[in-house]
Amino acid sequence: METVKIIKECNMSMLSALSSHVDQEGQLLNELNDSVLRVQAAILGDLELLEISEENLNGAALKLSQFLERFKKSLSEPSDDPTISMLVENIRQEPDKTVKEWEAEIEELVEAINQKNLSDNPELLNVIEDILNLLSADYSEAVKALYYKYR
Amino acid sequence: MSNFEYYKAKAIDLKRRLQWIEQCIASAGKDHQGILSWLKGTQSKILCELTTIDKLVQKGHPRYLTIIMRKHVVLEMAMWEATLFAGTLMRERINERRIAKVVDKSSRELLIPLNDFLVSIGDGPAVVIGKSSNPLFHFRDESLGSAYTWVAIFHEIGHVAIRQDRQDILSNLIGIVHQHFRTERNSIGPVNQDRRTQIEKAISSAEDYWTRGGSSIRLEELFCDCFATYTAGLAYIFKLLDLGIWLVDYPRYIDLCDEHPPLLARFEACWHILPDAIKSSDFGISLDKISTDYLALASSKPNPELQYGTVCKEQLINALTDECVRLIRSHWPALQQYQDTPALTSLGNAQDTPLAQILNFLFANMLRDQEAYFRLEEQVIIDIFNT
Repeated sequence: METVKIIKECNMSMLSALSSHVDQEGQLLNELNDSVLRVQAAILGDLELLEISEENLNGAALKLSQFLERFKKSLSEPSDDPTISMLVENIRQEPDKTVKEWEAEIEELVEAINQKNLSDNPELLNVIEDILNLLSADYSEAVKALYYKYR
Repeated sequence: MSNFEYYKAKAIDLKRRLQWIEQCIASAGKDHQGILSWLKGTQSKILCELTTIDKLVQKGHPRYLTIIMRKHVVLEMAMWEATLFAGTLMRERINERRIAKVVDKSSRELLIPLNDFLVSIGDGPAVVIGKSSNPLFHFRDESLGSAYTWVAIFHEIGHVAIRQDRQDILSNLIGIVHQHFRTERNSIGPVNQDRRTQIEKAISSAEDYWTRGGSSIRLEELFCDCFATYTAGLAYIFKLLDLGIWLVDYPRYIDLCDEHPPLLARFEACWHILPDAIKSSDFGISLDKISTDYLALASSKPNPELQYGTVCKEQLINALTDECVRLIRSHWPALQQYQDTPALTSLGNAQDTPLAQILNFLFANMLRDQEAYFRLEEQVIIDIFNT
């Protein structure tokens, strides 16, 4: 009986905070995904096809390297950013890669972005792809919760 | 069918759904220019994204597949939100407009401007969805016949306000949580290793409760409780307490399935904010007595992994509450803390009286003279709805 009451009342009313959470995470996911697309398009020679200017490309590279720097720092000390904390926590539970390995891969990618030589080793982008897939999974879960509860 | 073909098909589906939104926009009246403009903007953004996706699908490079997948996740959310707003716009009638008057009044009085907003009425408690400039408020049906339920607006406007700078506000609150539990870890006395491990585990679980993953939602809820108490005083605490007495059997229970902190922590946070003069008013003394009796009678339901005393230690709740007040004052310096002790004499036209004052006046009367409350509430509803 108690559980039924809580689900009916509290789960509905917490939707406001869930909606804020979804907005914030969606914005970050969208921005980072677009940045990866721009950098990837440069590697694949599709800048013209996708109408991406040099300025857009530089902005995307800067956004990615800033995010990755913040992310790497959070692997060694607690972050006050709720989304990054969530991602770091998920990464810690990944059985296939140690935190040291994550740090090393992020460092390599940031260096390649800053040196503008990603085309020589496009596989370096896999680490940001992995991070974005974790972010996307968390975002989808929150969206589904919002969608199913607000009806 | 390849994954690229699937996303080609999904794009057709999204375009079809956009047509329905287009029809809603075309048939909407001239009210809600802000919402209409936002809907048109969302529609253009979705179309633009679909054009990009179309190009990526044509290119068919495997490296683009995960990017397309993530774009679709974001697009589905944008489409859901746009559909929700368009549908609410189509259903708007006199009842929604009546409650919109109450929301508009309180947002103007709180100086939290809303460019445009929608109201829906139905089942379930108050909720706010969408961006801070163009939100959608949902309220229970009974808000049409009872001013008592309007106090939820103060909490919901808190959610609108926090969206203006959520990242900064939550980062500060998370910082307080980390600091508190760091101190707790450092103050573990001389104990054997097993006991130390046990205490450290309890502290980590408590810290996770507030900060882990999407749990910053709990900090946002606590912030909105503080925002509502800061702006509506005892009226909000009365409603929170009433909700607890009605619904919450175990006010100290730490429930991981509930994204709200335990009711007792919410209540203590709100009480901590109140100025002493309000606490010692007749209304304040009455509420203190009601809460003391409720808490004395409420049952305990232990959670062996998360103890109330560790998760919601008084020092932590007070520190979080103090930080919420500091953040409210720094982000919205023009916002006045509600300081009035409810007068029990008379109330002028409700339209000319701040909503917080009306509700405090009504609730104070409710505890003292129920017949008078009944008449006063009716008058308030007539005054506001008929303006």
